[in-house]
Parts: sequence; C-alpha cells; structure tokens
Amino acid sequence: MNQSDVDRVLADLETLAVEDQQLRAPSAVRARVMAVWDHGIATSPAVGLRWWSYVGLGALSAAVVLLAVIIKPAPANRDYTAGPSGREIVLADGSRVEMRSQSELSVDRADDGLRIRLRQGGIIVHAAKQRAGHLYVQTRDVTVSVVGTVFLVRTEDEGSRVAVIEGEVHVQHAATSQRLRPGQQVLTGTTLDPIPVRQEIAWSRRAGAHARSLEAAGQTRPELPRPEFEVADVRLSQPRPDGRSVLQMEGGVVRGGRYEIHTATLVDLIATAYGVRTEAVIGGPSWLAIDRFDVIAKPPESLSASTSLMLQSLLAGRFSLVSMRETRPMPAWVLSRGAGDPRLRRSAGSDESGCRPVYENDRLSCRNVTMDAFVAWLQAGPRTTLPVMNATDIEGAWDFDIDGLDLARTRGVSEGNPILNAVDNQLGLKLELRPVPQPVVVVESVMRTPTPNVPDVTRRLPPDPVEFEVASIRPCQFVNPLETGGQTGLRTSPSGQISSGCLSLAMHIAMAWNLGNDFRGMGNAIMRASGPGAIAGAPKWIQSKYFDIVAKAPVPVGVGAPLVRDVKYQAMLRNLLVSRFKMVTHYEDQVVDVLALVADKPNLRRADPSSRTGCRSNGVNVGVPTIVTCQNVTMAQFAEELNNDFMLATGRLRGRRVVDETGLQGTWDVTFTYRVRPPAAAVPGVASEPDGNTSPAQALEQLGFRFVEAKRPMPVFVIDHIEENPTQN
Amino acid sequence: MQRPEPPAGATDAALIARATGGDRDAFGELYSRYEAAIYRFALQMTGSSSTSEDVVQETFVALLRNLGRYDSGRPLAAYLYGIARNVTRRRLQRERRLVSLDHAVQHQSPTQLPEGLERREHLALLRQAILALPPRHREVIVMCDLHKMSYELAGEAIGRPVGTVRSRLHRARLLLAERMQEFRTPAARAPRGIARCAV
Repeated sequence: MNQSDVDRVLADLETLAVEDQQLRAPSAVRARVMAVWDHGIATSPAVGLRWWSYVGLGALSAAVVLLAVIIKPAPANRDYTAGPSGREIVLADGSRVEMRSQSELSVDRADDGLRIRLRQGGIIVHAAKQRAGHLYVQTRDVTVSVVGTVFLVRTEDEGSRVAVIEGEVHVQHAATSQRLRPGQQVLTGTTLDPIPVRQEIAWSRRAGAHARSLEAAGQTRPELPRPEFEVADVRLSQPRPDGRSVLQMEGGVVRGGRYEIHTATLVDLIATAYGVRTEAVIGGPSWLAIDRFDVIAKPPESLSASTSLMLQSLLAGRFSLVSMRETRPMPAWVLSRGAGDPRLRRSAGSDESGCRPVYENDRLSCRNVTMDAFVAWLQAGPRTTLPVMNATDIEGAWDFDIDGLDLARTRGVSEGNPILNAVDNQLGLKLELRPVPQPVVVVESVMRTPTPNVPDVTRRLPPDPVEFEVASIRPCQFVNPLETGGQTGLRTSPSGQISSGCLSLAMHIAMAWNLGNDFRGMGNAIMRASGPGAIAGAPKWIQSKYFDIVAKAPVPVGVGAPLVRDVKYQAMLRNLLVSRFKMVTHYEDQVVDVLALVADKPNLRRADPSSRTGCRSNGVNVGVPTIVTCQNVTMAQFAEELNNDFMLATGRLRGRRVVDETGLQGTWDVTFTYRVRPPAAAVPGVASEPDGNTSPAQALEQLGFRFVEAKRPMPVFVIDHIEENPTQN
Repeated sequence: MQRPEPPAGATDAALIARATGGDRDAFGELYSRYEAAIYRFALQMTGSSSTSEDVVQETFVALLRNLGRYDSGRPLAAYLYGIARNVTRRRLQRERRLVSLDHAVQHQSPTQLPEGLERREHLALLRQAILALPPRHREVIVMCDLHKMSYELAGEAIGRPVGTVRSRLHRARLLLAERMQEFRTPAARAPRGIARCAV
C-alpha cells in the first residue's frame, strides 16, 4: 500500500463528504423528538416503583389503588424508554407495566381502552380489571387483548413471545387467534427458542411472586384433552432441484389457517413439539436427522391450544412416536470458581448495570452485574453454542473488566473462544464444558414412514396462497441508501404488504427460485444471482436491470423469519415473475466445474452405525478455531457438509461444488479444525498461512483428503426465455 | 465547509440555557442545527436509514433528558456525536446477529458491478468499504474525513486522546485503501463478499 493509494482514497472521501451534505433525517423524526418534549419527559421522569418488589400478591390491589392516588397516571400518546435497570409505569386505567432494560414502548388510546405498542424489549403487564373495554399490547406481529391479568410480552428480531402468569389472555397473530392460560406461551418466529416462562420472568423485580403465581396455577389447572389438528398432510420433502442440501427447517407458524413446517427432520419436529433444543432430542435411530418432512395441517377454527401440543399429537399418531421427558446430564458451558479467590470488585451499586463491549480497547466492561447477569450476557452471544450456566455461588453485584477480546467477531462462548482463557486468567473463574442436568426428550421408538394421508387431504386443507393479491413491478435506479437517505431494502408488514426495494432482476429470480446455499452457522441464505455463469442461459442485462416490486400477499410473509427463506413468498414471487416477464425455465444437467474430494491415504475412523447421523460445527468465527464434527456419515454426506461450511471459510470453491469421489464405502466419523484469519489480512485461496493458522484445505489434507479440479454434470437452473420488460401493472 | 461548528445566531450554550428553562423553540433550534450532522454520521456508520432515524431520535431525547446536567464548557457537537456514537454502537451490536437480505445485497454488490466501474459505483464501493471497517476505525474516518472534525473534537466525542485519534485515522485510511484495492482486483471480490456475510 503506497501513499498514492491513500491519497486517492482521501480524494474520494472528499467527494463523498460533499455528496452527503444534502442528507437529512425525515421530518417525522423531528416530530417524534418534539413530541417527547411536549409530553414532559425531560422534566418529570416516571417514578421508579422499586418498593413494589416487596409487596406480595395479596397486597397488590391495595398497592395499585394507593399508587393511583399518589402518582399521576402516565398519559396516553407518549413514549417510554427503559434504561439499563428497567422501569415501571402506571397507565391511566391503573394497569402497571414492568419494562425490561432497554425496552421501548408507546401508549395510545384504542377504541375501547388503551393500547401499548411494544417496539423493543420485553414487558410484564399487570392489567387492571377493565370495566367495559380491553387493554391491548401490540408488537409488530402480535396483538394481545386482556380484561385483567398478568402476562409477559417480548418482541425480538425474529418475532414475539407472549406468556401468561395469571388469568387468561387472547393472542391474535396474523389470521390466528389463541387463548393462553398461566404457564402457556406462544412464539411467533420459527427461529425463536422456547424459554420456560419462569426463566422469561427472571429479570422482573417481582420474579418470586410471579413464580409463585405460576406454581399456584399449575396445581389447580385441570388436565385438558390433548389437542389435535383437524387434518394434516405429512410427506417426505422433495429434494432441491439443484441437488444442493437443505440444512434447516422452515415455517412452524399458522398462516391463512394453515400450520406449515417444511424440510424438518424428525429431530426438528420433536424439538419443536416439546420446546427443547435439537441437541436435547436423544436416542432413536440414526436416520432421525436425515429424512426431511413437510407437515401442512389445519388447526381447529377456534384455536384454543398451542400448535406445539397438536404437533405432539401428530407425532404420536402418524409416526407412532413414543418418547419420555427426562432430565439428563447434557453438555453446557459452566461458570464456576477457579482455584484462588475471584478477582472481582464489589460494585458500589451505580445506576448502570450490565456488560458492554469497549471495542477500541478490545475490552468487556461489566458494572454492577450479578454472576447470573454475566452468564445471561454470555448466553446471548451470537457465537454461543450451548447453554451457559452459573455455578459460582457468588452473590451480589460486581464490577470487572476482561481485556483482549475481539468482541465484534467472537462474542459468545464456544470451543477455542478467547473468553475461556480470559475468564480464567483475569477473573480467577473457570468457564468450561461440563455435563449439566437439563430437560431432554428421549426417543424410545418411532416409525420412519408416517401413516398415509387421508385421500382428500389437499381438499380439506385451506387453500395454499401462491399468488399475490395485487402486485406492481416498476423499473428503478439502484442507489445505495447512503446516497439518498431512501430505503432500498425489503419492507414487510404483518398485513402482507411487501416492498422488495430496488433489486436487480437477477436477485429477484434468485430469491424466487431459491438459488442459494444454506450455510451452517448463518441465519440466512446467500444468493447466487451474480457472477459469471450464475444463471445458465440468462441474458447479461438481468444483472443490470433493477425493479421494485410492491405487492400485497394474502397472508403475512417474511414475518418472524427472513423473507428470503419464506417458501410462501418464493412461490408468489415465482408466479409473478413467470407471468409478468414471460419466463420459461427448467433444470437440466450440465457439465460444470467442481472440486472432487479424493482420499489418498485416509486416516478415518469407522462409525458406530447406531449413532445419530449428522454434522455439527461451531460456525466460522474469524480468528477462532472452527471445529467440524461429523458422525456416522457417508462420504457423500461429508462432501455436502463441506459445501455448507467450507465455502465460507475459503475462496477455493468460488461457486464450485464439492463432490465425493473418494470411493470410500460405509459410514465414518470425521472431525477437523481450522481457523480463518481476520478479513483485513486474509487472502482467499492461499493455502499456506504463515501465522500458524490452519486453512480448511490443510486440515483436510491432514486427514488424507485433497481436492482435484474437475468437470462433472450437475443439475443447473436454466432460463429458456425472459422478456426484458414486464407486462403492464 | 462541513465542520460541525455552531452556526451564526445564539450560541449553543445560550440555547441550552433557554431550553433548560423550558423554551421549546430553543430546543427546536438546537435540533435544527445538529440533526443533519447526526443523521449523516449514523447513516455513514450503519448504512441503514431506519437505524439512523432512531439514532437521531435517541440522541436528541438523551440531550433533552440531560439538559440540566450538560456541561456548558464542553462543545455541544462533541457531546452529541458522543451520544450518537454510543447509540450507534449499541444498535450495530444488537443488529449484527441478523444477516438480512439488505446486507446480502450490499455485500454482493461488488460482484454485480460490470467491469469499468463508473464513478458513482466506485463511490458506492467506497461506502461499502467504510461500512466494512471495524467500528473504531470507521468512526474516525467518518468524523475526521467526512465530517471534517478536528482531532481534538473527534477525541472529545470518542473519549480518547488526540494521539489515539491520529493513530486510528492513519490505520483506518490504510485499511480503506487496502480494501479499495481488493475491490479493484476481480479475483478478490466474490470470496470477500461472502466471507463478510458469514462473520
């Protein structure tokens, strides 16, 4: 890098600075800020009601009456933000809202009561008895209505969760409505992990009282008959037409009266039905994680139970699943005391409570945190692979710093993560993998083939929405959002409104036909619309012509899961593009460049044929060792794993697939470890790494594998015909 | 030209004093003075207009809440940039888990561009290269090179000494030049885009 390169960048930065001068925030932002001024937050912050934590349930109504007298109720039409230590507010109807830290909400008037719009975080609502109307809590995809009860609502990136502590609530999610009772919860996002209600309320200052309410409800709640779907279509998933593998299930929500799960293994289905992690589904035959199924079912019209329970019934009825819920030792990251005294400073009890990264110093700075809170922070790390548990027995709140952590890239707890040594060396604590008793589902017996569907199953299911109700396709000029301050990304709404943003036609096609790879450790697919030869037979202009699609879908799409993975959106988009661009497509085998995996002197271990087939990886973390463990896999399955994991780690593939040409028969256990250098220094495709890191290719060579460039026939998506301009809107 | 200095008229300190006394117009004037700069800063740091709107809102609501505690000896610009920086970092951290299609599209843009990049597309690449810098380098590039802040003011905003700002800026410019060179090298494009999506 010489000075002239830097000078050129400086000149470009000058140009950018001038271009960006015109950018301004929309006037709506000013209106929102001034509304905060107008409602007096600056001069009269809401009163913190910490002493409520000492008020038992029996005294609750008296406390609410008293507060109504001495505290001016929060007015409607205003915003509330909770700081690091949370907040409590009282609404005009006497309802009380506990806000989790960093939560944001607004309150306004509904037709027959008050409405809380939860924008971020979580709340526990102690709804006052409503005389005539309702209290509503609304997230971006769920509306909860109540007449008097205690319940929890949390909104997350992936969806919302609602749980009941006392009484009963009514949950409206898309076209589905549900009644929930104490201890029950509903999740709207397929990627949301079920969390026991007791754990969900742990942040509350009244967690103990809430837990007692749940216990009391559990003792008195009568056993209900097991709910069932009215009808269910269960069948093996079709393989992808391009022959690529599928890594994860999609769906798990009710839309348009249909409950749909796609490409789910029996492990996925059992984990979904029983609300456990897939690792906690134990036992059963080795194929449990191989075969993939689509389940399309019709819940009863008046949905009064969780679809999880219906899925339990389906597994028992159609797959003859016999399972037991148990508590068993399972691997978990456990934080415990080290050999000496912990090097922690007792907190002075400052207002700020929590751990925050100080990126410029590669430091994690924790202030006024309990060990439970520290463990919760570790658990939330995107790189965390397993449950994290606190076994320190250290009470109270503490201040401490941990240095030498590249938190931007490696936040979380995983094998080889720098946090493991740092906790040991700097805090005098231990963070290690240990077996810990956890809830599991033990599979005792299950059929590989489900019982047949009833003959008229398709007719009895609600119609499958595959067309947009209305759609407009307009040419657009692609611009980076920075250049206009405008939106170029996707926008969806729970009502089914979609705006695709300005995308190339190639990108629309890639989304519609799902021309992407699943990658282990990622929440999204990578589209393959670009690059030479990405779409066979496609004219070059599909890369450079941009279109904005605005449409109304008959059911919500892209809510609770990324739009790019939504099979409903894919189907609707596919039909739209075929119809408006007169597209004709097909798949055919073509000879393409591949990397053949060959084995010269394999150093492999034969698998135990009864062990569960599958691969596991802690993901590609820059600078942290990636450990890929495959168990009881054929070499063809192992090659597919490399397509899912390996491509992210190196530039060697460059869009080429790995194919098995080892000639090895039977099943094998394979484990290999590699490390990707930080991007600033990484040079794709370089096999020799001078700093001691191991590339995936090197790691595989140590096992006796190598790659050979070859040409082989592979299924390829082909565009036979496409019009340059869409038909009129 | 673009340095965020107080415009003519009442000083920031005078407007703060009036706002503290309940003068709505004074607060509105403060908003007008700094809204665009804060929005630009957030947009250049995050690449997301919706996030940037939130950053502007949170920054001025924080100012509003702390009017009484504001140290009038400190430049308001540094104070506001400091809040905006913290809010932006929190947002980036929170949103990093999601790899949205927005990101996929942005990261893949380099491979979609035809050979012989036009000037506009070249600048779009530069924006992406800035967004791909580590936050501590990105913020000094944005403050010093795009917002033309002095080292002292930038140091005040990020809570670091001037020497640190200088060294980070030097390193940030080198990183940026390296990344731009990579974008110009076709062989380096596709894997880099994919790798960034993954980590």
